[in-house]
Amino acid sequence: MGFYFDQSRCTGCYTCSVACKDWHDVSPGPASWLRIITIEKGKYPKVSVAFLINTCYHCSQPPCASACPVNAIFKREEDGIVVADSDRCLGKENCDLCRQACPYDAPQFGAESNPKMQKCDFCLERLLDGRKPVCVEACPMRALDAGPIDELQAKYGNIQEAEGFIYSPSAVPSVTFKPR
Amino acid sequence: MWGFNPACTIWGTNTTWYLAQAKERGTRIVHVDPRLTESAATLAHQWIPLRPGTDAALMMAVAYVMLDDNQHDQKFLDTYTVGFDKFREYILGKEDGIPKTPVWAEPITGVPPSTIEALARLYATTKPAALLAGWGPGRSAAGEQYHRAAITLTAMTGNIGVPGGGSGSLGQCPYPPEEVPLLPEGENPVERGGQPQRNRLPSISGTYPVSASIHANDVFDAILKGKAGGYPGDLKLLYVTNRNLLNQISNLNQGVRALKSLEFIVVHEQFMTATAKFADILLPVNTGLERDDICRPWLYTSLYHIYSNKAVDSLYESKSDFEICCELAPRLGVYNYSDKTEDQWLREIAKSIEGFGEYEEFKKKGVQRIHLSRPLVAFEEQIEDPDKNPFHTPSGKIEIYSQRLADMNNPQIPPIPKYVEHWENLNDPLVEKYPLQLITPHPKRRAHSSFHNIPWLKELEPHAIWINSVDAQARGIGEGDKARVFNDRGEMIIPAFVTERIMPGIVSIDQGAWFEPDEKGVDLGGCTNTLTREGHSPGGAFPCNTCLVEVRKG
Repeated sequence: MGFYFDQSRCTGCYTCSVACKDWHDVSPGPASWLRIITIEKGKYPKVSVAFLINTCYHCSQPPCASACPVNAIFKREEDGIVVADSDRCLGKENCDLCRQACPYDAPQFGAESNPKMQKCDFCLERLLDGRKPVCVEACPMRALDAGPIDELQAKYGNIQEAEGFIYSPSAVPSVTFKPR
Repeated sequence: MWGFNPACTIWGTNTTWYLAQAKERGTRIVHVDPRLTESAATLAHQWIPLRPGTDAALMMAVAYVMLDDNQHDQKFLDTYTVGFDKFREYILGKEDGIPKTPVWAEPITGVPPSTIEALARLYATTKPAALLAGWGPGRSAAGEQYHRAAITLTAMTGNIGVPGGGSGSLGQCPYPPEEVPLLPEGENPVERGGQPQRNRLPSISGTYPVSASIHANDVFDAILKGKAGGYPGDLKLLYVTNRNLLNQISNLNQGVRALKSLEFIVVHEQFMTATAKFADILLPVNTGLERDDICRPWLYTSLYHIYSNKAVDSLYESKSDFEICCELAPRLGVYNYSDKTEDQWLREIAKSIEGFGEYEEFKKKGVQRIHLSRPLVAFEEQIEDPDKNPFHTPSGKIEIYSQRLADMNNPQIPPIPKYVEHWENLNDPLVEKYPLQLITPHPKRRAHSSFHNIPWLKELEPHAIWINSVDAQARGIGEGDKARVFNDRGEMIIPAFVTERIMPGIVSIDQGAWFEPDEKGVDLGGCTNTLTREGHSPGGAFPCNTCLVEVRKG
């Protein structure tokens, strides 16, 4: 499973990000499973601004899973979704290895003491119900899609370039873009 | 898109999406605004920054180029408008000896003449072309000139009443055909016998405001000055519902003095707002989650109604505004205040909306969409048959010259659209002391002041002052530094967002953050009305984008 993001349409409205926090009941604070990055380039008056989603791209070879010393992070065989088992997680203060391994800041931690890792789970319970992740349904610009990555690539092309995005050849993130 | 940022100031739920699709299909989009907004970043091919309050000057120069090129639609102007000849004389300099050329406009607007010429030619030769003129530039000390100039440009290009065009105004969708009734207002005994105020702008039907009403942005001044200041009464009591006026009305320090001077204040509120803190009696109002309601999009810019269903009973002692008024009325000697329950009123309102359908069905579905047999085009009938369908103006035509405005005899609101100088623009001597122009646009993470206190929304972006790197460096201000923003009216402390996305000389703070004065009166909440000026433009606009300030490192 993976994401498609149309950077030519995103206005940086944060609706995806807030819908995610709402659906998953993520408390206000540092943990956010889906963030929007604003990229400003140039000097006045020749300026360009782009917005980029920043979330877990459910990599083909997730470095977080390899880094986890207690096998709390694994990639599901049936659909490729990378999930975390917070019961096994040692917590940020005791470990932090997944966060350091991930090139996309996907592992997120709350404000509590020794927080357990949390991250995008592709809205697994919605998926089992035949629905797309909540961020996709919430986007007022229809700039997001989600599904099996080969299907997304067939539909939208296979483009790993977008303003502000750095492709990790070792992780192989499951994402394709329409750049600006 | 002129001063139009639909990605943040939602104007029709899908407008930004439609504009993105138009761009994908080859529509060229130009954005005129002091800021490179979110809408501009995503939708626009070109950004033309200009100084706030000078929009009309830029439009005058666009009109000049079109006249000079003979690219204007004279047939359209002859058929549908009055007074274009007078406007032409003003543009060509025959009225005041100053041709309104791009070279004339450059020092006023900050826009290079070549950019103005290219814009004029692009707009004049692209058919159809929509001038989406947002309301922000109009909310300035002489904002009428911008809107009237925009309408004139759309008439000059014959873009009114045609699909894909636009009349240069973003108004109410022509649906529903009849005005949707709200609860009857009843008679206000204070206004009985009031005299029409002929120095103010009349409504379309020609009626003038009666003397007992005052402009909302004069309310603090009226409280402080009363009859001695020319207001209709000496005010002692303030009753506030659905309003956080000590946040959303200009000049809050004047507001604090005004509210302190009153004998008695009643406030209906859900939150402890700056206004609520002044209440002698604070009546807790329930939220939309505790009552049924029908919601409609702002000005019917999308065609649907939503059923906002009651999710829980009213918490604690809270009641709806309607319930409070029903209980209060007989205690104040107002009997038969309402013969219907809230639910009966909702059904009655739904019944009066053409094509609404069954109320029970609406409740069950939660949404009622209005399906039109074909797209609505504003002023289509007037263009098709102007004799049978006159415009809703005194002359029945598009009034480039307005006799009513001529009758007001106020040089700040002349009968034809002009660029007029006004207070707190860059020619005001006050610039020596306060050299930066402040604009106060709508925020994207709240609706005015509503939802400012929602933690999930608050954490998305810091509430900050946009300042160009040139202005920031000159003041030793770095990204995220605390900045002190001030003028003679007030002072605030707010983090700086140092950016290339705003014109040098201009700073911008989103309006609606909550006023939090410290013991010295310095606002720590970043509420823009700490700085903005009271009063209004000659036609009645809030001048919230006309404001000079200085910024120092905080």
